[in-house]
Amino acid sequence: MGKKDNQVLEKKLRVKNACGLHTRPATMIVQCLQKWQAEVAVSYKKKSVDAKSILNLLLLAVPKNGEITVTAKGVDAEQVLLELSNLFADYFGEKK
Amino acid sequence: MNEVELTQREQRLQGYAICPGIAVGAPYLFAMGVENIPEISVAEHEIEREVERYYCALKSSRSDLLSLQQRPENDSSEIAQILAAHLEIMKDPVMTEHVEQQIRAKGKNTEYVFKQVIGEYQEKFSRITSQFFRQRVQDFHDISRRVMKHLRKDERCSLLDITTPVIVFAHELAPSDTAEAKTEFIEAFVTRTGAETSHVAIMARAKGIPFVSSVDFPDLRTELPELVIVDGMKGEVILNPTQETRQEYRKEQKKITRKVKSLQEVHAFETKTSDGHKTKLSANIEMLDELDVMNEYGVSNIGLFRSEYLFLARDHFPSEEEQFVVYRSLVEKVISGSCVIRTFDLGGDKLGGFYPKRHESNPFLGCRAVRLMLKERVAFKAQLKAILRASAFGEVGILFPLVADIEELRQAKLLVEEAKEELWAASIPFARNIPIGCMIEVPSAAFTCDILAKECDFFSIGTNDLVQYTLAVDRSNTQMSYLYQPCHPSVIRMIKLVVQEANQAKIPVSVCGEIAANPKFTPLLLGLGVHELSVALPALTLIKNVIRQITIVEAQAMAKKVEAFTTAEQIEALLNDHYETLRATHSF
Repeated sequence: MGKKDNQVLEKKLRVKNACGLHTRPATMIVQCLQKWQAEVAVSYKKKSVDAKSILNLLLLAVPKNGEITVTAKGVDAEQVLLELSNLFADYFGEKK
Repeated sequence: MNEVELTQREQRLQGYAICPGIAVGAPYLFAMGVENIPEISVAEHEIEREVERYYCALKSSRSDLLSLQQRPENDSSEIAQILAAHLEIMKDPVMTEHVEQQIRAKGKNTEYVFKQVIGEYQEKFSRITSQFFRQRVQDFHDISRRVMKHLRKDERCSLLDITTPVIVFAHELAPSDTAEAKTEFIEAFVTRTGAETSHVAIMARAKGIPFVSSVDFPDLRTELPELVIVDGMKGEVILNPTQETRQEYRKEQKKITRKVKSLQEVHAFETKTSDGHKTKLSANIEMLDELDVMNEYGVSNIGLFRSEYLFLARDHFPSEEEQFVVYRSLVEKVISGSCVIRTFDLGGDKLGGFYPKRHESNPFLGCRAVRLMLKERVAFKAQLKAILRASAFGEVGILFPLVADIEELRQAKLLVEEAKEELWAASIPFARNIPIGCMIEVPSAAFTCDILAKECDFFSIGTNDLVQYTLAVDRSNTQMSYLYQPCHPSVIRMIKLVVQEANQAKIPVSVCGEIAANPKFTPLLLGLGVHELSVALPALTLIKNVIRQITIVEAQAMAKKVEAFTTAEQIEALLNDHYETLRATHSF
């Protein structure tokens, strides 16, 4: 295994949506991750969950302006983080 | 008074009397909802099956949602998004890997494990401080319920599993549940829902199982009463009866047994009024095992075989061959009489497992009975061929339910001709002049029965549907059931009209609904000129007794009198009075 296979990248992202990280954004995160291999975890206020689980993302109850830390591990970690930050920046396609 | 005494105190609950009779026995809670999930240990070699069962339920829930997505009314972006989210949540590792892992780790039945996982997550959600996020649990709740529903469908939660005599308490019973009830073990039914003429009630009456519905019974799981009494006459359910009450009811039970015995002596006699007017009395049959006891009741004709009941638990239409075997055994058992097979009466409140689901806002006015079968031509022809083939072994008639228009009768008859031709070409024997009948259960059919009479061989008046369509009352709506009045002048006039037209056209007419089995109606029906009454087996004896006690002269006088009445109450009072006098004079 090359070095890149195990690379772990971390990024802080801010939830800008009015309702916070609710069902629809959570669904979009999960759908986005399905395209990639990386293992992704999201942590907020010392709790860390598997980002592929909508239910667990909802349980974090991230409000508007809450800052989460996304950790991606795997060969495509970089692309995953890039795509996720785009989603967050775009308010998950909701009205700004 | 201490706690124990309190819980064991006698408690009387009032409901609707559906099927008469008295039962004293132990209660059994049947299919009482999600809370009532048993914890069952699963052997190691069966774990795979449990896991598979879970994934099957997920898959079925998924296809539910996918078909919901297809429906035009769900086209709005909001609903579409919710459904998409639900579909996504179903793929959630919590719903998939986690549940699977738990089933393997715990070695318990899927329902139990799944329920625990749901509970665990509901608890997590309930601890969230933000109300908005706390409420997200709703979606999860919805999905879990859907999955659980599919899980429980597979579970062998069946009345067939009961092997000791019990009184069944259920929130609601489905026709397929009652179809499976064995009379030696099921002593009585008690339900929270239900109304007088639902098909569940018909089944219970056919089997002679006492039944009280609309009983608001408490949560029995916490303190299961040792003994309960069901009084199907008064519509009363007694939990933890006192010694005194028990004795009273045991006496009552004995009295009923004696009465039934004395009534049964009439089985050997002919069915005619005391002044010699002969009437044909036939049996309504749903289950093949009823055939074995038919002879005991001294009846040789089947006036109505409800073919769909045999197959309600299926998820596909039975094959021609399968049906032929059933119909042939039916025909062969009726040695000296005839047998009328009604084609599948599906839809409405009878949603069999093999009924192709359609979404209708008003199923009783929608695609049911002959309307449905004319759309399912392949299945319809298979049934007609099976009946035709059985006609080579004895006297059979074909009866089409819910005919509302001559065109429906013509189309159905055309299909019979096609079926005949195909059998002819294959050199399979059948009775060429097989009688074809129309159910008269829609007002449009009643008012055009002179037209229908010219193109069919017999009529059968189905009063249950006729009453509900004439009076525009949903017969299973408990709040409206007071408007469901079989005595209503409109209903009586319609029966009279149909009988007159049938007599004019010289074709036989029978009555096969609930009122045929109600002894109070017997004189009136005979007086109106009805030739045949077709009733459930347990009612046969009583109806025969009534016929034998009355004269056709008094019956006709009664019909004449009723004509002048203006309200259902008046007619009902007359029928009641007459019946009470009859009972008093002949002590039954």
